[in-house]
Amino acid sequence: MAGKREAEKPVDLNMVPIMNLFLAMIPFLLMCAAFFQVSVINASVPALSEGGDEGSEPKKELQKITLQLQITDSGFTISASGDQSPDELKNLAGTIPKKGNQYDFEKLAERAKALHDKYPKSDTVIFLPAKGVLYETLVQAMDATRERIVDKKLDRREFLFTNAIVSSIL
Amino acid sequence: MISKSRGRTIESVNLNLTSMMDMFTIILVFLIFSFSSQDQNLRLDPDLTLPESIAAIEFKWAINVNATPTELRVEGNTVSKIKGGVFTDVKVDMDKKRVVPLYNLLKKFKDIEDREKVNPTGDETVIAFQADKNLPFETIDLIMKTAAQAGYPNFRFVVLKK
Repeated sequence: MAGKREAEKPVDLNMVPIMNLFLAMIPFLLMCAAFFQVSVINASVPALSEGGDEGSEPKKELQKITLQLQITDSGFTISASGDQSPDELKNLAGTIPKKGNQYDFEKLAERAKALHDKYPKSDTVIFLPAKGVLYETLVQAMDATRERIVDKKLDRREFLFTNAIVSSIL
Repeated sequence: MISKSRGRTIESVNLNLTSMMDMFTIILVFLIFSFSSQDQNLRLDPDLTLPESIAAIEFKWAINVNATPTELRVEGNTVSKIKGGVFTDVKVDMDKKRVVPLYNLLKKFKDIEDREKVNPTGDETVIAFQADKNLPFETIDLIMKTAAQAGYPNFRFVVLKK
């Protein structure tokens, strides 16, 4: 009878070593914790490049355009350059006016996607912000033209114009 | 355990640590998830507010140039004061589009870099550019053009992940 009572007695686990471990780990992890995550956007300024062989005719790349995006007080102005005919390039141009007081980044992203689908080898966009345009607006415009998040949970992205060049309107 | 002392009964109390353990476990799991193992020689400037972005490229070794609403700093050293997006106490060459002291400093960096192998990654050195989100583009443009003339045409805009 007495033996049965002893067997039923709950066992107190010694939590002290685990507590010690936790107390050592928590300050260390607190020091290394990142409460906000930093990321970067690659960008460059236009540079002069030496021309290729003068004798050889450059190969025409019809699946590639260079997008030019002017950011002004009234909104975005899109134009393109490339080896396509002037008429074709003219048809790609357009404007995206502001929605009220806000820049329409959604429409810009849609337009960039449509252009990238049509010319899938394109990767370069030249940003031409006007004076007074805020740095935040430039970053948001870069986001809209650079990539599209396809699946946020799985972090799947579709890349569009990844090569960003920042210049200014003369 | 019960012990008797001078006729009084003293009972030792066993603290119930279960709830504390639960709390510690939750804190530990949260901290492990927010643990960052990124190699960052990046010191975020408390005087500026970075723009947010969906970009997911990790930070790498670079020269830190910070533009706050009041100062322009290179590797933490003040190069110029800024007021309303304008460089106030330094010479700005508007023909060449350069902030003269910034150009001189970056040119010095470039000369040292060309002489000695400074960049641990071996890649071309870029500028890690932290700028306040409310700075006007002409200020940003002037800094970028100055850096490009000094031999650093490639930038990494530091942003906060959305």
